[in-house]
Amino acid sequence: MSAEQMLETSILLGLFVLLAGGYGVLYGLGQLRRRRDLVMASFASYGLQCMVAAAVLLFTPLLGWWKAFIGLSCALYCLLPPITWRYLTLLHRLEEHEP
Amino acid sequence: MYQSQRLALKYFTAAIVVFGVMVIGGLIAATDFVQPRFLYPELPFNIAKILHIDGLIVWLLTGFIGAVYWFLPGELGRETEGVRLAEIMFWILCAAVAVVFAVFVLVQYGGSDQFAMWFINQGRKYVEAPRWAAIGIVLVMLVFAYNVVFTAIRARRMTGILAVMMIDLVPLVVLYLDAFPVIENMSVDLYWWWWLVHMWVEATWEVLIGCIVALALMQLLNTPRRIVEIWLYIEVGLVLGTGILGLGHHYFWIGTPQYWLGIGGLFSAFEPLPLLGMVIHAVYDAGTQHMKTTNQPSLFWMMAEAFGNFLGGGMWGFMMTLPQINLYSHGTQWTVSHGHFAFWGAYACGVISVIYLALQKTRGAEVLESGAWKWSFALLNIGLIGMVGSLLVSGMAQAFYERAIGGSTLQAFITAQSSPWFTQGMVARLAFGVIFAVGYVWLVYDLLTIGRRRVPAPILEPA
Repeated sequence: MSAEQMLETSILLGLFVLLAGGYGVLYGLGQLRRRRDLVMASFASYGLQCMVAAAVLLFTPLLGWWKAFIGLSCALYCLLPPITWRYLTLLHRLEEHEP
Repeated sequence: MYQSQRLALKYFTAAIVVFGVMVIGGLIAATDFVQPRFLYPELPFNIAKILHIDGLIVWLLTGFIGAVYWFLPGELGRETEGVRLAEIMFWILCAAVAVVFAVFVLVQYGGSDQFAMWFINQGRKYVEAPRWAAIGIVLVMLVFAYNVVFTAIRARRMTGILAVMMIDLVPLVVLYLDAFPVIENMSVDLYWWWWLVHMWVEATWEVLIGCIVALALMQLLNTPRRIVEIWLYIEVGLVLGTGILGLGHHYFWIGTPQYWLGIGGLFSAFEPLPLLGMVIHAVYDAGTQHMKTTNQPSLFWMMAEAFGNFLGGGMWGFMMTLPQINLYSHGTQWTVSHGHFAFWGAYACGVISVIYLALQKTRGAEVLESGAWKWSFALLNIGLIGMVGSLLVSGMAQAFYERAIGGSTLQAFITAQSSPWFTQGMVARLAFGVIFAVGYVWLVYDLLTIGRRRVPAPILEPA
């Protein structure tokens, strides 16, 4: 890995997590406020995350094992904010309905 | 008010004072990077650095202990068992910290002998406190554990949060014993030393602050107990599942077997997950309340905790945790940037949030509000983010010039240290450090004055 590649890869990995956070936060806010624009923005954030993941796979010298990890994480992460949100709201609803 | 809560206020006061020592130590160390002979030889860089990082550990730990003493009586409906002993230990701890810091500043170092180890400096980063003080810390932690466990036993009551906390107290105390052995083989010594540092910071402390935040959320946002407990179990499971073996991400350049690098990289790559869960939970809780509460400072600091932890621990950590990058970034200012951000987000913001909660009750303020808290919140966070950004630039320059291009030779070290990317980053860090220090002064002013003047409760419009 060259010096330039080291910095580029690191910045891509940081963006990967930042965009994942953006997806989670915007999705949560969108659901909470029932605002479609925020939910769409969250999906846009996820789209960008996928692009970053693609850049990691195509252009960085990370070992194949780590590339597989990034690719798989990105694919699975798609489901994480909706599942987390659904579980969270379900939990609160159950709590409200219990005496 | 319970006696335990009065003791908690003393712990909070001590925490904020030592926070100040940490800030001063940090400012001196940051100035040393810009003016290398600043205060030398009276207070050299290595001593300022010790004050900075040991101050950090002490103020956070006293903040945690204070938070537990604050919440414990309310949680169990009775006075904390052995609170007088706890009070004595508090004064012993304060005296020990004062003496240790005074020895660091005035004596500074000793020979490579037993006397120096027992009375001046143990010589291991983060646990420099001399042996006598280290024994004192163990005693304080044991009494603290006794207080928690026996209060629950006497109350004949157990909650999920307390059960998690009690289990966590065992490794919290036991891991500190790792500060004692004198191992001559440096690889073996560092191998075990990282158990102490990593397992405290990325495992047991995470669990402890998780319990404290759970208790705080029930007061701050009236979040139902069952919800905070279920989230606590999930988050603790994820934190421990990823954090324990994430230990391997420290095992660079110290002679540990290579397999640790892959293990550490893999497990620490999962570490952002629980942090993201916390952020989503925080968005939900604060969002359902429309960010409205009778204690805005506490809520904002709690939100800063969730986001700061995610960014500092998750994003900053992920940038450098895969072995191919960690190989270069390890031990540079890049790591320092990650450390500052993660400690701030994961722990400092949470402790400050709990202090505001305690002040509201102590001062009987229906609504805790002031202008100063906004200033301190803004200045501290801007200062911190600025420092973290500057350190990141300097650290990347180090990894780039010194490690990746220069191959870690002495000449490469000097080249990196004189690179404008590095030096200007250090100047910027100092400037933002000053902003942070001003924020600290505002914080102290606010903590002393907030809630002393009556603020009318907001009139809530019917839905």
